[in-house]
Amino acid sequence: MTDFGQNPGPDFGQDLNQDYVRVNVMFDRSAANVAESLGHAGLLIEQELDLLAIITGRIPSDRMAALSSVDGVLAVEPDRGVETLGQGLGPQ
Amino acid sequence: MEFWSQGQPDSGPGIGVPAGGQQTTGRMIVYSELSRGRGGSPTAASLKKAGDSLNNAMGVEIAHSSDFGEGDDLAGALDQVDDSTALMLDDLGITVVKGGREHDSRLAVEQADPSSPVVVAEPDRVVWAIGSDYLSGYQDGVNQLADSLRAGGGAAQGPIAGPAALPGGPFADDATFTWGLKAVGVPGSTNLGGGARIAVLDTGADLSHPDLVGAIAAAQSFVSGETADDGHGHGTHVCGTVAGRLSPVGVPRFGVAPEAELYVGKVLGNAGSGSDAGILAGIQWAILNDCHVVSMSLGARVSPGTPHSQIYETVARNALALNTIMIVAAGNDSGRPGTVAPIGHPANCPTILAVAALDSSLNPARFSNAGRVGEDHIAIAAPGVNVLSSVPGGGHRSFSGTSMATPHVSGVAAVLQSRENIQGPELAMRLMTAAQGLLPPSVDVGVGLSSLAP
Repeated sequence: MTDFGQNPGPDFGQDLNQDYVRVNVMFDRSAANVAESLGHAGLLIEQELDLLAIITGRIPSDRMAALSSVDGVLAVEPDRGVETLGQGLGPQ
Repeated sequence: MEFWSQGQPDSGPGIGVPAGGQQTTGRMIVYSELSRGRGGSPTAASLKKAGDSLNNAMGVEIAHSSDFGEGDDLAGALDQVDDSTALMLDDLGITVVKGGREHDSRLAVEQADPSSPVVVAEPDRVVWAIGSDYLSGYQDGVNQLADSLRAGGGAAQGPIAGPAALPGGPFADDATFTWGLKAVGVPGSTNLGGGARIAVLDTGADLSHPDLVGAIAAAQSFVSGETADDGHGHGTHVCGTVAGRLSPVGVPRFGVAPEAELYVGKVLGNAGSGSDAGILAGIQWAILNDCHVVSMSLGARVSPGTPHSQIYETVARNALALNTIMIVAAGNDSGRPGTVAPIGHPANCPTILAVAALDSSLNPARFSNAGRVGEDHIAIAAPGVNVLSSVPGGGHRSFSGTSMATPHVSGVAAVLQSRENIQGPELAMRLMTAAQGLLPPSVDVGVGLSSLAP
């Protein structure tokens, strides 16, 4: 469950040769084979967060819209960047 | 206890859909200034005085919520409110009376009489049953009531009070406590948050800092190529405010809940940034570890009118159903008084408790973002200017931001959880009912200053 933080986080690899975007997909837990269907639709799955019913991954930007049409998909959102909200702090 | 809603609306007279389209239950919510005791909170004596006054004015007997024990049907008691019986919710000093022609007209007379102790009388609005919408509706209800009290000129006498009326305010660090801990009432609290599990999703933490090492129960990195050790500083500072040790060396105490258990999730890299995917993984980890609170001092600026994330809102609702509440910084994009920016992502979700920052005079910090009426809202406020806490390497420094305010609230939540053995929606409610009212409007400070004061 935890390694007390000594291991780095997962490495999802780098995008190559195409305009990939990262997306987060929320799905209906009762729907079958959603991950497989998303894969067929072009999503390179990076995480399956089963408790939250969310799959995260990368997809060519021109295929992102099609993800919403996959059976069982409830929401598709681009992966947003966030940052700390303290002023004056910085890399040590 | 559902202060504002009833699942099955009363079919008696008074029910309707007023302008604005919101259904009412047929009952009225009444606040009398007599219910306010010394210090601003209801006392047994003040509640009796308020009850006697309403009895005289409206001819109703008053039942008190404090007479109901655990397991008693308080919600059912709301159904029993009729022409001759009202129910006083003692913790709030608010009375629920039956609407209808006679009571409505008596209340109208009371409100029109400047000598009457009745400050506010409003229709009991139908919101939603238990869950995230109820939480959001409760926040709106308390904020509306608080704003009504301010508009009615009651601000000078409380329960809403400015810094001069709060014990010890304006605030400053001393040898024993930081100003922030004094403001949220830590000196008067004996509970140290033991047993409360608080997930801090941030840049990690200095896992060997002497002021944190005893508090960290677990740590996990969700950042590719980086361990949970804090190479930035922000996460260490935030963790310190939540659970820095009771007696740090050479500095005042800065940890709200020194005996809380910290679950350190690194979702922001050493450069201070990250993305939703890592944060969502951190949230799942926190829930799987049965954390009572997910504390996130992070976010992204949004443009006015930007809708909130459906995914984060659903996650927050599901977390709440699993007894994990989410407390998130509102953002620092404002430049008050000229510019007041909207609450950032993901704090702008209805089921997430968005935290505003206060300065030592308990005014909104100049950078603190604000809610927009009918769109999103600040839940609560806490100290966020010149906040002293731990930094990597064993030292301490002061920084400002809604990042600093958020762990004050999370620490208060830890103490409330520990002290009262509550979690989930009940913990979120308690956080808000425990808050001390402030002069600034609710769009800036929500229900007020997060507090442990009795």
